[in-house]
Amino acid sequence: MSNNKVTVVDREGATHDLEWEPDQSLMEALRDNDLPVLASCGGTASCATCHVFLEKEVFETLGERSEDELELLVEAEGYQECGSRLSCQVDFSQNLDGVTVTLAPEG
Amino acid sequence: MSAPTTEKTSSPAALPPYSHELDWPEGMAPFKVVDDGSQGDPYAHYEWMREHAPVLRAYSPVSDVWFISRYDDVRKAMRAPKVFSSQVVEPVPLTFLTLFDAPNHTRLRQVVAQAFTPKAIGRFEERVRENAHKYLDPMIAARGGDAVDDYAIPLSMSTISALLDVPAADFDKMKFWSDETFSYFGRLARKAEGTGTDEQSTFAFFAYLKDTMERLYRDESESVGGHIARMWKEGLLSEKEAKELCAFVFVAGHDTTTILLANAFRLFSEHPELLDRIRERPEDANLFLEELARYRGTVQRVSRITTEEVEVAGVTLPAGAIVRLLPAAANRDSAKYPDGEKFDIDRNNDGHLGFGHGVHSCLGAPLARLETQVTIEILAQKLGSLILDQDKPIDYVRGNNLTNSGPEHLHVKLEKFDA
Repeated sequence: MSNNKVTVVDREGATHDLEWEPDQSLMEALRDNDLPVLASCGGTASCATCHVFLEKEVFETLGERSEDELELLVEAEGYQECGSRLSCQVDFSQNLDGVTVTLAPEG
Repeated sequence: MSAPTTEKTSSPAALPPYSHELDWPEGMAPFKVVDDGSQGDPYAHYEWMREHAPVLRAYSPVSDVWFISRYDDVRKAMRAPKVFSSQVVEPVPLTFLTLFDAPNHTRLRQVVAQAFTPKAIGRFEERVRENAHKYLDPMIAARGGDAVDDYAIPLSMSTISALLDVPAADFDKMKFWSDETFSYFGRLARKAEGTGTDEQSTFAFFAYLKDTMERLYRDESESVGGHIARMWKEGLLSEKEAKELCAFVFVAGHDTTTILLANAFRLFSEHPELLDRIRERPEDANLFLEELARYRGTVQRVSRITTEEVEVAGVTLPAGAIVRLLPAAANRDSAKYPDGEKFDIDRNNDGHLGFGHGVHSCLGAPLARLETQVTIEILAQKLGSLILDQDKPIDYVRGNNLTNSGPEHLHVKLEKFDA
């Protein structure tokens, strides 16, 4: 399986192109490419420090957010009902090749 | 006397009885804020508390302290940092990450976070493996020793020292400073009784770390210590923050892991069949590690203060309540993990709180996991037998804050595996 290409818009509005490897969650791809994603809880959907925005059409192709994820997102800075995800809960999928991910503000 | 179980209190004023007023089982001392030696291995207390007093109010001369022991309640509190605040002391006296809420927690954690990702920690695996052999081989040759002094402390100290690029030639001095700093921290954070020398020792440690950071800056060290030094020199951290953050990484980075490593020896002694199993299937070391963190994780008490009135297990905690979440108690809750008092590496232990949960999850978890997994693999690979030395009972950590609990000395007898 080949890597996905992802464009990341950071909190200053600058864009970064990175490779998303198949064994990584989206959070791991961001963190391991040195984007400022704290991911305090390490990927257990318990802290919201890996909050990102996805484009609406991409967001809608993904499954429902879990109760745990949603509980944290609605409290997070800048929550978007049809765009906010914890990036640790977004698994690799070839359908996500070429997506743009925007880092949410820090809470 | 009835215990304060889940029955809802009728008004905020109806406070549950104090721990010392409850009918504890015969032979079990009431659970206390400051340990008197009865809580070194606190699991029997926890079991009773989960059943009879899941929100236990304990008296202290300063203020009541509320202990929360059931899984669902501890997890929920760890996910709600705005209600269960970590800023238990204002102003925050030391740059220890556990004492901050956002946004300062986020800012400071970001300084060191990149050094502790699984990817960054993976670079240390060979060094950890070499050191594990180096410290274990003499123990095997001597057919035993103290798993804490002879193995766990040297391994965890040498590893965190390498990560920080702080020389660790003198483990005794570093261990002393580290323990004293932890005691000083407990005194400031929890008004625990100090050692009498902890403040002086802590400042000596900080001065040493300042000198070290000056050197790391000059040498352009790529280590975490070098990174903190550059943040200081560039004005992004104050000198106080830089020294204290460095000390925090050192103290938090070895003390907790030391206990977890010692507990790995203990669990092998209680389940000798696992030596054979993991020797044959080294990939199962990971199952052992996660169950170890659930069953005998290091961190016992996590301090919080409520920012508003909140109900937990039917008990109303007032705003400003001093709370201790008990993750190690939660981890054995049979409502979450059936037969929770049993160590079983084949169980599903997903969601355990052995490395915390939420925004304050253990920063060094990938490092602790690496050191412990390597240890589990190597013990199984090299040992045919590991038993506790019956002549030398386990000596438990007795500190005055009891954030961490586990063996201070654990004497074992070892037999080499003979194929």
